[in-house]
Amino acid sequence: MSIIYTPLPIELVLDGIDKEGPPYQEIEVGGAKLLVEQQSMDKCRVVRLISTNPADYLRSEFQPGTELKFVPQFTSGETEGEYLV
Amino acid sequence: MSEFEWTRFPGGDNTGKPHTINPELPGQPGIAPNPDILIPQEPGTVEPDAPGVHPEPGEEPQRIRKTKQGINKKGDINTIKELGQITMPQTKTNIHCLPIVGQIEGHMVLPPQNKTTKYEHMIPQLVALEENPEIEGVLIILNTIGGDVEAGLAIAEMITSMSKPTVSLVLGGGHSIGVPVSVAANYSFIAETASMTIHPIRLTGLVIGVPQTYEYLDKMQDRVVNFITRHSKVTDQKLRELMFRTGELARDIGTVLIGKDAVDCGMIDEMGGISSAVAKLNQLIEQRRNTGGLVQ
Repeated sequence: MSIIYTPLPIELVLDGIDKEGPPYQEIEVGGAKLLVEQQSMDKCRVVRLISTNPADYLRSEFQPGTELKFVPQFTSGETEGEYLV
Repeated sequence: MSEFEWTRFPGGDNTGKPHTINPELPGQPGIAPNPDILIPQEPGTVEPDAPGVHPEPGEEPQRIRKTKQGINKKGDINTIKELGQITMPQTKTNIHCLPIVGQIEGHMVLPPQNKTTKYEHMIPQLVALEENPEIEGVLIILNTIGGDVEAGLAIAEMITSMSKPTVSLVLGGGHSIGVPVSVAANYSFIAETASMTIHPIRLTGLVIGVPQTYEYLDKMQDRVVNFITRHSKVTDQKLRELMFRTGELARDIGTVLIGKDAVDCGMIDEMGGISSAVAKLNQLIEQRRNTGGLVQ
């Protein structure tokens, strides 16, 4: 059992628990976690950045609303650069 | 919608409807009008100082100085490597931040109209911060409305058991389970306008029928109270007095502490903003270096 400790009325917190939320996905780009909304086969839009590095929040390609494109890339073990802005 | 909202729009937008964005809308930020153009900003419109933009050739010496400072004591080879980068200049920082916003989400996935900070994100982040030798201090920024007791206490225990200096800053609100998280840091700050609600744990809508239920809730309450009193200067007696005070909250018993009140009762160390929090963190980092906690 989980106890929710909040000054908000519990009915507000649990309102809509039977509804489905927006279909966001988590992807990892260059060491930072991004919450994105897929728009088409190869495109997504940044909704939220989850990172502890303050510098990540200054990167223009991580700003919420930015469109990212998935591009297949062949690299030698490097995971960075799997996206193209 | 909630008692914490202050807006000139009647009704509010937090309807719990799924978040949909119309791609045809012209004013949407970040959407290029032409689908072929996928750059976030037009090349001509960016300011030269904006991150990710290469400085003019004339500004090069300044940039070298900045870079050297940024990667302090890592040697010249690294400096040259840094200058050779074609992508945006990496600003290396020894302080990382941990924003805790909305509800702290734990064992239960909350409905989508809640903004949440999830423990499956926070706990690995805290592990990474503890383990990464380049990170010397952690700044915890809170604007939380509370949330899951166990998730909040887990995060608070993680923060308090870190070997690196931690400083917390309460902005906006640090309510309920946000209190143990904010006092978990080595040093805590609160903004002048920020508030912290102290109230008892309860199970809304559930009738306490048996003494065991009450005992259980009381134990959960003690976990939170003990953590707060162990990690701040507030006494158990004072905290319980604040928690069970009547006549302050409209729908509940308890107290709202605003800025200075939280400092006066000993819960938070100091009133201040981001500059004082970063200055304190840098001071703690310096202390830790001098006492030999960190070699190099």
